[in-house]
Parts: sequence; structure tokens; C-alpha cells
Amino acid sequence: MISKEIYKELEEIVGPDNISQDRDVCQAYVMGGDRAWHNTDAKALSTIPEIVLLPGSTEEVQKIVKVACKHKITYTPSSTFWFPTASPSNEDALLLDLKRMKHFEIDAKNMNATVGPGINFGQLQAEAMNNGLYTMVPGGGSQVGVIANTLIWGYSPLTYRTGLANRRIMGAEWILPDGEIVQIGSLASGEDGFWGEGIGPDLRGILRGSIGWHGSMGIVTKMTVKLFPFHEEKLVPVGTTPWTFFLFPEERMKWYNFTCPDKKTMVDFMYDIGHCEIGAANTRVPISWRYMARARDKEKFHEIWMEDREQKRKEVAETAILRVMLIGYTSRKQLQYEEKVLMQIAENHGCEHRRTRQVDGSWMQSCDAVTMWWLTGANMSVTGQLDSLDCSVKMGEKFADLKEKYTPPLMDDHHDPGWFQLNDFGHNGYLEFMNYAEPYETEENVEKILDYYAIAGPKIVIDAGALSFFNQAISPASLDGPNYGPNFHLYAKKVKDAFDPEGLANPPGILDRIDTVIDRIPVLKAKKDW
Amino acid sequence: MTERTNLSLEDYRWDAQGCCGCRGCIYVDYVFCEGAKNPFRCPSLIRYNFDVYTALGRGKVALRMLNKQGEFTDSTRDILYKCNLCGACDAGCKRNLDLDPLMVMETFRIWAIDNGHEPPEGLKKVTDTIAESENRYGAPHDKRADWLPADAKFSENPEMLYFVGCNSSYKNKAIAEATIGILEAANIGYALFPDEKCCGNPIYVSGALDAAIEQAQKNIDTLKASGADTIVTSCAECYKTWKVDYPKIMDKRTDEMGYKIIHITELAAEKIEDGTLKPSHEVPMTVTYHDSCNLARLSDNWIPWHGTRGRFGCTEPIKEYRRCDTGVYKQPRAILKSIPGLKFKEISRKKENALCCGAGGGVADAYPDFAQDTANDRLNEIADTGAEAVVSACPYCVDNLSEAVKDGGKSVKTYDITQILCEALTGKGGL
Repeated sequence: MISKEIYKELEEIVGPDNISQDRDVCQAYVMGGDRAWHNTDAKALSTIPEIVLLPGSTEEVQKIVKVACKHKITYTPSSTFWFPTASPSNEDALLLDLKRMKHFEIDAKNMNATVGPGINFGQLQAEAMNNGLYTMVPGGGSQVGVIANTLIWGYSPLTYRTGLANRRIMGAEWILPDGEIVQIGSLASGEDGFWGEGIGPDLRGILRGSIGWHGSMGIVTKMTVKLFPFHEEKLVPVGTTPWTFFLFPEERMKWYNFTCPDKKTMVDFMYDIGHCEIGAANTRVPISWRYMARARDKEKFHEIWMEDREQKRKEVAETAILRVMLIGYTSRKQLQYEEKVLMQIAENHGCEHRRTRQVDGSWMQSCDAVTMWWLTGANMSVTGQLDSLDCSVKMGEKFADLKEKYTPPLMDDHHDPGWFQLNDFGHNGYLEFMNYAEPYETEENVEKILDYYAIAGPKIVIDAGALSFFNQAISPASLDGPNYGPNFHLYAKKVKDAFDPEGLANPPGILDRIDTVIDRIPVLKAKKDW
Repeated sequence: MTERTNLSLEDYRWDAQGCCGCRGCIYVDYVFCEGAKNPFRCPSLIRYNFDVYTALGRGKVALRMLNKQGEFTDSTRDILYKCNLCGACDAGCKRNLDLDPLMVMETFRIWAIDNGHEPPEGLKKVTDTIAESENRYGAPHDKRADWLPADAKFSENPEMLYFVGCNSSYKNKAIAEATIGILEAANIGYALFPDEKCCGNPIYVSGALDAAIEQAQKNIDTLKASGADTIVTSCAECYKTWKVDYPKIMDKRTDEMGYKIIHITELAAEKIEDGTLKPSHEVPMTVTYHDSCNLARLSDNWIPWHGTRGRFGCTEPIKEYRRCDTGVYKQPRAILKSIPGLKFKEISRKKENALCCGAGGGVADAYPDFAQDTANDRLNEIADTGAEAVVSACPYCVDNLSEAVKDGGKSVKTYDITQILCEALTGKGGL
């Protein structure tokens, strides 16, 4: 229980309208509880915060953190509250809801924007496009906070060209776990946002790395992110929710779908596109997405996706569809040139060009995940891995085999090996393996699904020696640490302890998270063998 | 308390629980997001900032109450009623999860009244006034049609009855006068709705379901006795109440009610398109249009669903989804674009993404400061369009925006669309 005196101290920082201890107010920041089952972390860890604060400035955040440190109170930062780590995991915690921090500044000439935690990707992308620029919008959706997502995630089909998130950070204003402020990259030197590294050693590595600290290494209150050249022709928004999309200016942007003879050929095709350095996106289309596109509601989707399962399994095994987006960034001629190259590569591989609609409802300024939630009626979570494309393909097959053992209760996806794509023109491959779960499972089935997510899934990644992405958040550091290092986990722990010896910044922290989850769920604890 | 057979909060437990926190309910549809400014569509969140002042937060509170895990406090009441029931969250959720968050909040209010919790004082006062005098202003019932000009041309065999609404009967009488001007210009045989009484919208939004049913029944009985089956109205709130709420509280489909309700903008747009109405008088003005929630995203036909949910929430029998996509969006715009001399500029948050004027859901009565804050937010957005006037098709939106203009010393003019159209048709819109 936090004392009245401490409450008063905090109230003086943010003002009475921006602090609350009301049960109804605080409960809105719990992710798990009796609500639909969504995620292992959420179910096991989410705890009602003792106090919720709405700071409006960096100075206020800093003062709150210092008060927390003085009284040894844990604190959790949250901006758009989409990831389970945005909810406290222990009692007597502060929750800092950062949505009032809406700083936004765009430097179109130098192609960057500086944002506060209250700015989301929908806003950033719209402003970028207004200035002839663009960036990627993550799979979590346009409603995701730019800073939060850039710190822990930052992938979408558009990262094929825009690159990985850590390379898009040009500067950050970062409140360390003890309340001190450090500015890195261009925000440190007061220069235009043209570099992210800083003068000496690159502190971005400590700030983020592969998947960041999820708030357990302090709070970023401002970030400069890189933007990329686009074209000047307008994407026209049309339709009425939920049937809204952009019409492409077809002389500057186009989709291309290809049917490939088999998966291996598709992968070769994808690499060749990357080698030629053409395109804006380059990704496999899971077959279930095609059925979702045909459905108007979840009832229809389940009807058409579950009928004739033998045939569906054959279709999934034998169909390899590649989706490519080309953009004429500099001119219409660029698009014409890239189209010629693409078609030549397709011909070389014997891939057939298919017709597709020249509209976009899910990539340029949108989110794939939530539409999948709508049309499946499932809570969709992903596991996956980040490595080479070859590795993505192999891991997708391993996951498909594993998932069959847990289907049902997971939704049958007919042994689909997941969604994979290229990042950085092929320097990096990305697998997102989607798991659709019934939101209101029986306790028995929930236990089975938890086992899949928290024990069996991470283990196959670890056994394969692959680098996981989400799994770094949900797999035991002591086991998968060697894959990164071999002593990655030991040094990461030292860094965390050096900056936050009391462990006040959003515990349990990324390295201990899965062990904490498992320890709180008896059925998983019984299976823990490490 | 007898158990509710329809409109029970328990019926919407699935929708309250199904929220995953994606926040589609608070942000403008990303396809229509125009930049860093104005990202939100939820007035309550804009004003109060804490997540509990959103559909996702109120759903959690509702679950606590259903599960008997907490007390209904004064703070709970504020959280519940500091909501415009504007449906912005509902439209957003249809894009992401296809839940019915608006029905969670409507039935939560019904639950609150059923469980002995009073609505906020200001709203209670209005519902008491309606019970006493059949209108929300406490004005004499027998003066309801006093606005009527002496030269109104009623038909002996009317094609439709004009349901004026409390606001235009007693307060903004120019809207009623402009409406009959439009009906007469279109040569439509009409008569006034006989012995018109308040539609009961404030009663329904307060959560007093039994009283709302009683009020609805009075008007429905009057309509039946008149022998007519078509009603035209210039009030967006009355329109939505007749079209959506009456069937909802009677547990019927809109098309099973035995009558048809038309908003004047639907009728006028049709008559302009077929050439019956010819706006010929210039209205030299640059305007933008403010979508009334009641006329736009809240006005899909009501379709009751009673059934069971299987795995993944699949419904049996299969539910016919209402997704805020069939409302009156295009007709007001078509009318404005048909008027000579008038320049139309679209506002940033529009159609299903529009920001409520701030008055809806009983907020103007219960929390006038909140209503005015939202109106001011909307006026800033209106100013960004460069328009000299804002036009709406709801007298309550016009009222709330006008009040904010007056209090804030702003220069933008506010009109109901009937006034603009009547001016363009007859030169007598009273602008």
C-alpha cells in the first residue's frame, strides 16, 4: 500500500487531474484478469496498479521516477498499452500512462520525425506522407505507439526496405531507471537527426538490441526516428469502416502476386528480388489470409476455412504465393523499370503472375493483426524467429509440426508454415508463426495452450539454435542466452543490475520474465525442467 | 427487479470480455488519419485521459459489476455517464474485433438503474421533466405546435407525418419552419404528427428502460391511431430513436415496426436527385459539415439477435452484423454540394470517424462543462477547414456548437441543414 504522503508527493508533480487511485480507473490498466485469454504473460502477470499517473512532460516523468526510487516503488510505463509488459506485474506499483506526451516535429528535409510517447504510427505515417515520406507501420497496428514499438518491435512487410527498428532510431531522450536523463544520437548533440550512434560508444545497443527491455531499463520520453523517401502522389482513402482502404496511384505503386511452383522456388525468387534491390515489400502469403479476404464475418471464415480439410491441407502444402509491392519512389519510370526486373526474375523461376486488386487495407497505414482477430474471432498471438530466410522456412516447418500436437484447442491452420518475409533487401529473414486461440477456453485447454506458448514453443527455437524475436521475451534467458552470445544473458543481467540495482523499472524485467510467468502458473511450473 | 428479457448487460458480457485493448475504439480509422492532430474519436478520452473513460475501460468496470467484484460508487457513475454514447468506439471496434461496445455501455446504464443507482442529477431532472410535461424543457404541452406558421399547407391525405421533436418545437423553431418549407417545395403532402410527445431519447440514454418503453409506446400508439405509416423528421435524435431505439427496446427489427421513419436529408437528397427539388437561390458561403452521431454512425437498422456462441464466438443462428456503415452519410453532403454559390469543405474527422459535438448521451444535461469542452475541440477542427460556417442535421449539435461559439467569442456561424436548403430553394431560410 502506497502511503498518502507519497500520493501527495506524486500529485504535486502531475496535478490532481492527472493522478488516480480509484479502483475503476486503475483496473483499466490490467491486461489479464477475467477478460478474454490473450497471452501467457497477461494471464499470469498483469496486476492492478496502485496509482495511475498521466505525466505531461519529460520533467514530470523524471520527477515521478525519482520519487519511485526514493521510496523503492516499482513503476511501469505505458503509451498505447498493447503489449503485456505495459501492465504491472506486482502489487503497489505505479503506472505511468504517457498518452498526454504528444510532442511531434517533422524534419522533412532531413527525413526524420521527433515524437513523444503519445504519438502512434497512424499519425506518424500520415504526417510522413503529407511530406512525401513514409515509414513502416507494425503488425500490431497504426494505433501502436511509435516509441514503444520502435523500442521492442518495429517489423512489418515494409521493413523489407525500411530496415530493422534499431537502425531507424536517430536519437532518444531516455530517463534511466534512477531518474537521470541521457540523450543519445542526434538529440544529444542538438543536430539534425542524421545519426543515431552518438559521439562515442553506441548506447542504442543498451537501449534496445533485438527486442529491447520493455520498460525495465527506464522510460524513453522522446525519440527521433528515420523516415524514408516516398512519392508525391496521393493514396486516396475510400470506404466506410470497416470496409476502408487506400486506392493506389497505379503508376507509382502496385501489388504483384505470383504463384510459385513450390516453396523453395518462392524463397529463391524472394532472394533474387532482394539482390536486385527492387521493391517495397516481399512476403509470403499464408493461405488462411486469402480465405479471410473472402469472408465478411467470422462465421463465414470458419465455414469456408474448415470445410473439406483434406483438400485444404493439400492446398496449404502445395500453394506458394508471393506478394510483392513495387513503388516508383522517384518517378513512374522507376516503377516501370522495377516491374521489368521483377517479371524477368519471375520468368526465370517459372512463377506465374496473378491478378490482384490495387488497393491496400492493411499495410501502408494499418495493421494486419487486428483484422485477423476480427475475421477469425480468435485471439491471435505470434511466435517466430528472426534470422535468415532459410532459417525462417525451416523454423516455420518445425512450428507447424509442433502446433499440430496442440490443435485443437488451437485453431487448425492445416499445417501452414507461417508468414515469412525478407527484411533489409534480404539481409534478414523473418518468420511470424500465427496461433489463433479461442478467447474463452476451458481451463484444461488453456493449460495446453500455455504449455505450447511458454514451454514447447520456446524450446524448439532454443533447440534449433535459432534467434527468436518474441521468444526473447518469453523464453528463459538462461537457456536461449547462449544462442546470442554465448554469454549474452550474463552480461545483459549485469547491465540491468548496474542501471537498476533495486529492480524498480518494470519488473520482472525481460530476462526473468518467463521464469516469473511459469512460477506463477502451477501447471507450467510442474513442467519446468531447467 | 424482474429479470430483463432483452437489453441485459449480461447479454453483452461476451463483448465486454472480448476487448483485447487494441484501441481501435479511440482512434480515427487509420485510413482516414490525416496527421498528428486530432487522432482520437472518443470525446470522453480526450477530456479525461484515463483509459477508464473509453469503451475498453468501461467494459472492465461493467464486468466487475456483473461479477459482483466491486461497489458502484459515485466515481463509477461518473465514469458511466461521462460518455456521449456517440458510437465512435463502436465503429472503430467493427474494424478490429467486431464487438458491440456501445451496447455494453447502454445496457450498463440500464443495469445501473435496475440496480437502484440514479443517473446524474442533470439528466435525472430532464427525464423527470419529460414525465411531467411530455417535453424536455418543461414547456406547456399544448404550446408544442405554436411555432407553426399560419400559412402552413397541410394535406388532408398526407403521405407522411412530420415529427418535429422537442428542440425544434420549442427552441430552434426556424428548423421546423425550414423543414415544412422544404416539404412544400417538394410538393409532399404532409401533416403534423398528432399530439406529439418527446421521443424519449433522454429517458433511454439515462438507462430507465421501462420508462423509455412507456414513452415509445405512447408515440407508437398515436401513430397507429392516425392510420399513417411514414414519419419524416428534421431531428437526428428523434430519427435514431424511432429507427433504432424503439425497435431495440421492443425487441423487434426496424423493418418489423410497421412504420417508416425518414430524415429530411434523406428525403431532400432523393428529391434533388430526381429533379423535384431545384436549389436555385445562391448561398454564397463556405461551409463544412458536422456529422451528427444519431443520423450517421448510430442509425443502422436495429436487428435483434438472440442465440448462442460457439467456438471463436461464432453465432448460432448467424448474427446479422450492424457495423455503422449504412447511416446517413452521403445525403447531407449531396444536398450541400447541390446548392449554388456554396463551397463545401470536408472536415478532418468525418462520417463514421466524426467527433461528437459533445451533447450526446445525456452529457449536455449531466456534465455541461464536458459538453462544451468537446464542442470547443470540434470548433477548433472546424476552424482548420477555413469554413465560415458549420452545418449539421441535428438541432442538438447546432445548439451545443452555437453555445460554444457564443461563450468562446468565436466567429464561425452555425446552421441546421434545413435552413441552408430552404434558403437555396425559396430564398426564405432565415439565414
